[in-house]
Order: sequence, then structure tokens, then C-alpha cells
Amino acid sequence: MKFQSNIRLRLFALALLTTTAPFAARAETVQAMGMASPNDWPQYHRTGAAWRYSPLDKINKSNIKNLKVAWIAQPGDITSGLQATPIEVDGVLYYIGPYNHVYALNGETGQIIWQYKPKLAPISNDSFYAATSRGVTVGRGKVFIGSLDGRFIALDQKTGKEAWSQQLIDQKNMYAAVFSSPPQLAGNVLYGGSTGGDQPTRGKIWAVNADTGEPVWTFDTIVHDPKSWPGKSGDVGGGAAWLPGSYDETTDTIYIGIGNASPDFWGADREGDNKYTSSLLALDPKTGKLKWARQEIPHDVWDYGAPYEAVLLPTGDQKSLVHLNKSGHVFVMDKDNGDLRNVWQLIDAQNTIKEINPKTGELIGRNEPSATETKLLCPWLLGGRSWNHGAYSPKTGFWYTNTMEACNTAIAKKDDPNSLKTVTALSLGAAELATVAPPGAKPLGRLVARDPVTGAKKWSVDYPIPGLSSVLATAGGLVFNADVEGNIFAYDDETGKTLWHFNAGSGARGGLISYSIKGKQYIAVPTGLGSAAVGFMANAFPKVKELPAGAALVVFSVD
Amino acid sequence: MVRKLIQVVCLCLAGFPGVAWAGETPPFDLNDPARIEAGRVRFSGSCTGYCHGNEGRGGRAPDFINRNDFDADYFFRTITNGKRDSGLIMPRWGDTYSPEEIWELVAYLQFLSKKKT
Repeated sequence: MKFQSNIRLRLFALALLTTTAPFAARAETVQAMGMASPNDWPQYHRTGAAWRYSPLDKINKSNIKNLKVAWIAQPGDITSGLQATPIEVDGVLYYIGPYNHVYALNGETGQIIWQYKPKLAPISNDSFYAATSRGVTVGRGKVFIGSLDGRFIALDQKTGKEAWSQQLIDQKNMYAAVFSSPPQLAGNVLYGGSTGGDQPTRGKIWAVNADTGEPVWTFDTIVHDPKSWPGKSGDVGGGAAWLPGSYDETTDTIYIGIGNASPDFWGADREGDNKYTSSLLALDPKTGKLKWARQEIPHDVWDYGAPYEAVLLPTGDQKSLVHLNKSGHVFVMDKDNGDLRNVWQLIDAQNTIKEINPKTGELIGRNEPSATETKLLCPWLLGGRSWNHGAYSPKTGFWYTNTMEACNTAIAKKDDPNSLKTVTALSLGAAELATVAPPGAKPLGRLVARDPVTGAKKWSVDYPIPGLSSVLATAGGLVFNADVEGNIFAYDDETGKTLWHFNAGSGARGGLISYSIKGKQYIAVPTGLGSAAVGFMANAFPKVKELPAGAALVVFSVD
Repeated sequence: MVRKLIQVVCLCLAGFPGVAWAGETPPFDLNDPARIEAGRVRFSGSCTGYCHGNEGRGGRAPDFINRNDFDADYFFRTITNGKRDSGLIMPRWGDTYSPEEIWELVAYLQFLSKKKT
């Protein structure tokens, strides 16, 4: 009897496993979530903990000198470069190139398994962000993309055939806003936001049923509160959630950051805190209801959004969430309620906010742009770091990220309504905008290793031009980073010593990943420079004008 | 006449939609200081942020300062229709600005081209 019960129990467990096979069992701790699926890179940040850390150690400090090119994939178009973080699941590598061209490749050889290119609506061609694609999402037997003509599209994971397509953005009335980032999965819900923070739009987050494409909910990132948004200012208030969110499966919570307020530098017509711009939101995936929100920069007038990654730490009570704001401040909060645990400053060049109270989050000493005089504002509108993500290593406990030491001068100005009539229009709210060096210092970029909670400095490496790729940390004791000149580096994760270097010929804007197939570890590096940010950098970093464009996914391994 | 015909054929071949060809000739003197100033303000609001930099000295596009190859027609057409080259995209502004407003931008770019530094 006991034996039979045991068998029944096992059969039941097997049935349960079979029916839920595509959806791995939920991790119960941040530590377990961050270390799950060690051979793969199944999500944009690898896991919901957003560490960008690979638990693989076959490639390590002792053999990194033998790292060689295994294969190269080229998307066949270099427009806006290669900005994606590839995804690897069960030996297949998925990535997206310019104009939403999706590829599934054999992860060992680079051989194309299938490819898909959507027929995009002509209006997408007029978008300020045309061609930009930052990745795909894989799960539930499908490959999902957010398209440049405002759709979520699902492809069959095995064949690349279109399974469903759902139009979500009304591009004619949203200044041709696009899904430049891949929508993310939270159970059976697929969600994501669009571009539009620098345009006179009202931000939204859309969610659909991942299996059918049917809309489930939308979240208005601009609150309906005249104290926060006087008059109709919220209708043009920006608040774009233009980067991927992440899913905390331990509490069934979506974290997603919201971008800057619009017009960027002209705040006179939107006096108020302008929620939820420059905020981190925690949402219930099933309903889209707000669990909590933390606004980091009330009444942003510097283009300091908060769309960046929410890193969950496995240390202490496993409840610390680390979140960088474009202002260059790092907010450490309780992941379950948003309560503040600390605020620290990542960069040296900061003169717009004198201090942020680490207990209350209050901004002290605001240096705002003026309509009557040119003001020096640090950091510049690209932020203390651009959107390229950092990496956290549970092995060292350090957080590794690129930074920017640069400023801009600006004069605020009310936008001419006539200039906002069509989809190409930008609503910067500035009469002048120029990139400049920080006072008394050279403009530069850095890769820094910091304690993510206290901000304590561990090591740093300077670059003549700020790096724009997302960092990768591995259990092999390595930190990989690629610069805008095409140099790919591997550093010692404890000391920052350069252990390996490769010149790819064009700079990097995408995310570096690692995966393993049949016991062999690979490092995949999207290369090929193309980014609106590069254009803005040129005044302070003239050499970027000479950097060649490109697009190639370079994959390395050790024999 | 022949030049105009060739230009029209070229643009048709290039498939430019909705070309504001009526604005081929500047409707005012490109050296008019008021028009240059109007162009400067428009340029500063729309073009400097991410693309061309203050006074056209940034961006990955060539500098506008100190140029001896200034071609008003070329600049007018490029602003109107946009451009894609070497992996970069310039959106078209022909639907945003009237031909007169685009000529004011051209007037400002001509002014910049004569600046030495």
C-alpha cells in the first residue's frame, strides 16, 4: 500500500513536472533565483535577480589567455549597430539585429537554424528610434519581440514562424514610439513599455497573455493627479518604461523602471513631483496593480530617468534591491516594499543634486536649468551611466558597472508647439545643449567595482571614452567588458587587472553573455557601434566621430 | 531646367515620399540675420540633443563649422527627407517643419559653415 502510494505520488509529481515543464519551479530565495539554470542565459539579465552573472567557471583566470574566437554571426545590416543581449537556452542562441531581424543559431557553431524578419508598418521608418532592437525573450515555447511598429510578436521557438502579433502602440498618436526593448515574461504575462520619454507622450506599460497575445492590462505611468501634473501636462509628460523590467518569482512581482519627465529640461509647465517619472515600480503581474513605487527624482528637469535594472542581492536578509538612477545615485531599497536602505553616489561629476538623504530620499540642493542663463549640469543627459547594465558577482559581492564622467550645459526653453506636430519631434525643452568636460577634470569613462550596498570602492579602470556595453561577471573570477572602440577585455574580478584583450574592430553597445553546451563554456559578445548616445558624446569625446559602425556577434571559447 | 529635371528624376528613383519640392528655392536671403537666428533656435531645440551637437560640432555627422563645400540644396533636401548612411539614421523633418522653416535651418547651417572656429 505504501509502495503503491509512493508510485502514485511519483506519477503525480511526474505529471506535474510534465505539465509545468516549460516553467521551471519557482525559486524561493534570491540566491536560488540568481544561480538557476547555470548553463544557460535564459533571460535578458540571465535571471530575475538581474545579476548578469554566469555560474560557469570552465573559462577562468588560469586559462583566459587561451580564449579564442569560436564563430561569428552577422545580422547583415549595421544600422544602429548590434544592441541586443543574446539569449541562450538548451544550446540554441537567439538574438535580434537591426529592424527586428531575429536569428536562432546553433550555439556551438553559429549555424542559422531559423530567421525571422517582420514586415514593419511604414510609419516605423519615421521613428527617431528606427532600427533599434535590444533583445528577444524566450519562454513558453515561444520567442517574443517588441517591434519597431508597436507590436508584441510571438514566434514558435522551434521554427521561427509567427504565432501571434498584437498591435499595442498607436504610433500615429504616440510620436512613433517603438518597443526598442524585449517585453519580459512574468508567468504567463508578457509585459513591457515603449520609447517616448523625450517626446510629448504619456507613458504606458502594456501586458498581454503570452500564449495568445490577448491584452491583459495597461499601466499608466503618469498619475492622474493635478498636484503631480497640473492641467494637461501629464498628457505630454513622458515617463517611458523603455528598458526591460525583471520578474521576482520569489514574490510574484514585476520590477520596472520609469524614465524621465518631458519636456526634459523645461519643468515650468509641470510643477509638481511628476509621478511616476524617474521611479522604480513594483507591479502585480496578473492585474497590473501597483504594489509599491519609489520615486527617486521628483520633478526631474535634467533627463534623469530611472529605467535601469533592479538588482536583487543574495546577501543579508536577501531583500536588498540596488537601483541606479541616471543622476548617478544608487538607491538601495527593500525589494518587498520600496523602503529606503541607503543612497550613494556612483560618479564624481555631480553638481545638479547636492545630496540625497539616504534615510528619507529627500533631494537637497537642486541646481536646475534656467531659461535666462546657461547652466553647467553634471552628469549630462546620458546619465552617470547609459542604459548598458552592470553585473553583480555573488562570488566577490561586488557590483561592476560602466560609468560616465561628463557634463552638459543647457538653457531651458518652452518647446515651440509648431515643432511638435509630427512623429519625428523631440521635446527636450532646451534652447541650447552642449556636452562639456567636468570642471577641472577630464571627461572619461570608468568600469568600477563597488560594494552595492555601501558604495565602497573596490577597484576601477579608466577608459578615454565611456563604455556602452553591459558587463558580464562569471564564476571563473572574470569580469568582461567591451568599449566603444571595439576592445573586449577580461579583468580579474578581485583586482581589476587586465587578463585578456581582443580587438573586434567596432565598438560594443549590447550585452555580453556566457553559456555552456556539452560542458564547453562560451562567451558571446555583440559588437558593432550604433547608438544615439554616441552622437551626443562627440562634443566631449571627439574621437567617437571616427569610430566605425558595424554589427557582428563574436563568440569565444577555450579549446 | 535640365538640372531640375535630373534632380526630380533622381528623387523619384530614390523613392522619396512627399518631397517638399516647392521649397527648392530659398524664399528669403539666407544671409538675413533674423532668419539665421530663427534657424539657430530651431536647430538648438531639435538637432543638438542627440545628433549634431551644439553649433553642429558634435554628433557623428561631419562638423558644420568651417566648411567650404556648403550646398544649400543638399542641406534642404537632407533635412526634408532624412538620411541613412554608415549605420546612422537621420529622421526626415519634412513633415515637422514647413519648407520656409527648413530654409531657416539651412540659413543657420550656412552661417556656421562660414565660422572658422
